[in-house]
Amino acid sequence: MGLRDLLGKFIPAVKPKPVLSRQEALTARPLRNPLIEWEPMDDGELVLKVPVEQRSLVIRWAIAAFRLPPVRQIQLDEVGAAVWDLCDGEHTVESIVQEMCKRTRMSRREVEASVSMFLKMLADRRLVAFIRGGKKKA
Amino acid sequence: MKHGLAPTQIVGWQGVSLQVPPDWSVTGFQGDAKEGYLRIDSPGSLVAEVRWAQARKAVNIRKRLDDYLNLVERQAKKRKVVFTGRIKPSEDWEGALEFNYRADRKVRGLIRQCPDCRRVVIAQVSGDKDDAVANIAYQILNTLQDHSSDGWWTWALLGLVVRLPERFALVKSQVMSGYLSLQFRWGYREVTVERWGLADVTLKRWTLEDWALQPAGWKRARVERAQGQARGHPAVMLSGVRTAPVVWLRRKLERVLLRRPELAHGAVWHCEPGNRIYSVRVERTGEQMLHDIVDTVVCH
Repeated sequence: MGLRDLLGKFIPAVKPKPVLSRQEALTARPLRNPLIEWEPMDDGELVLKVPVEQRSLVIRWAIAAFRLPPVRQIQLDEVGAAVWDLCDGEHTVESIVQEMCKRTRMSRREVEASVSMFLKMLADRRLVAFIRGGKKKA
Repeated sequence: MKHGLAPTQIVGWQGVSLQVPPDWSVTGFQGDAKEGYLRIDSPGSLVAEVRWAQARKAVNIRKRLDDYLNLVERQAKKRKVVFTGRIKPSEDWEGALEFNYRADRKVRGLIRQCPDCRRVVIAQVSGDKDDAVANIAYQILNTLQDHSSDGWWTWALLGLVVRLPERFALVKSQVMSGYLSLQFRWGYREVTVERWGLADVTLKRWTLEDWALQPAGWKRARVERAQGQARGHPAVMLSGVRTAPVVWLRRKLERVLLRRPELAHGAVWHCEPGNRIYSVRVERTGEQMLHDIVDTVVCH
């Protein structure tokens, strides 16, 4: 149990992170952050252009002082690019897994583990969010 | 919930093998040939589990089953779930006892001791209350084998199927998404089987020949390469000797004193229909063993 979950038990304002069951996670629909632009490359790879948050004065000063680019770039390989394409808020995680099973010809369990990890990593970096419930595209 | 797919995918581990529907996957294993556990999950809520323990003499399987069911009942009571169970001698499997119970899940299984290998195996299929457990359990349990008839064990998980002489013991396994590695040892002999997924992506950046030399076993080795065939695919055949001074000296001494082979042999091939790269490497067993093992790999 993390500190946040522990505090959430006693302090109502600190909400513990929602724990999703596997079934709930598979029916969630990942949606790309609309602030992010991306550029496809020739070999099927993709470059994401993520704006650097400039809320802090220090970061703003550092960007100006060191002439840092206002966006950071993240390169996705062709499998990551295919998953990114499917994060349109319409496809569920389950349908992404099925699609990637067809494309990669890997076993379902392997694809489910990789896609889940990849989507979690994107969500941790605030590149995608998950929509729960509502209409699904199977 | 009905489950329509027939059990056609073979799963094998430590001499135990069974067939499950093609969309089921191994999700857990532990132990060794003497005592162990294997779990295979369906995409839904059905689960097949096998536990085994090697015994030296005949054991009272009724007592073992009672102990097991008592343990399950105690756990159910802790969770305040009603437990109902039944045991009966099996009509389908000679010398086995069938059991079924309901707690928070529906379970059907069997326990038996093999008269040949003396292994005691408990296998069960469980599901939620709305799952049709009985039918799929019968089909899966009907394929259960606790030893092989030819002295070669089947090792099969996540689509990798390979057979090895039963004296080779698993010493290391890595099961990752897109990469599987099983390393076996029998005395001084070693066998390593590896499989990589996403071969189309890998082979855009590497040639098969360069990729073949990536496994750690071929690093710091003087390797000779040749073109060959494996399972109907073009393969890179490798043979070499370790050049690390200590290993080299030890191998040379063993070669002279004990007449042990010092060479390692390997085959690496790309299975295009399966989009995977396979590698089998044998060390100090002779080239014939490599061909025998490669011939047992089911790659597509």
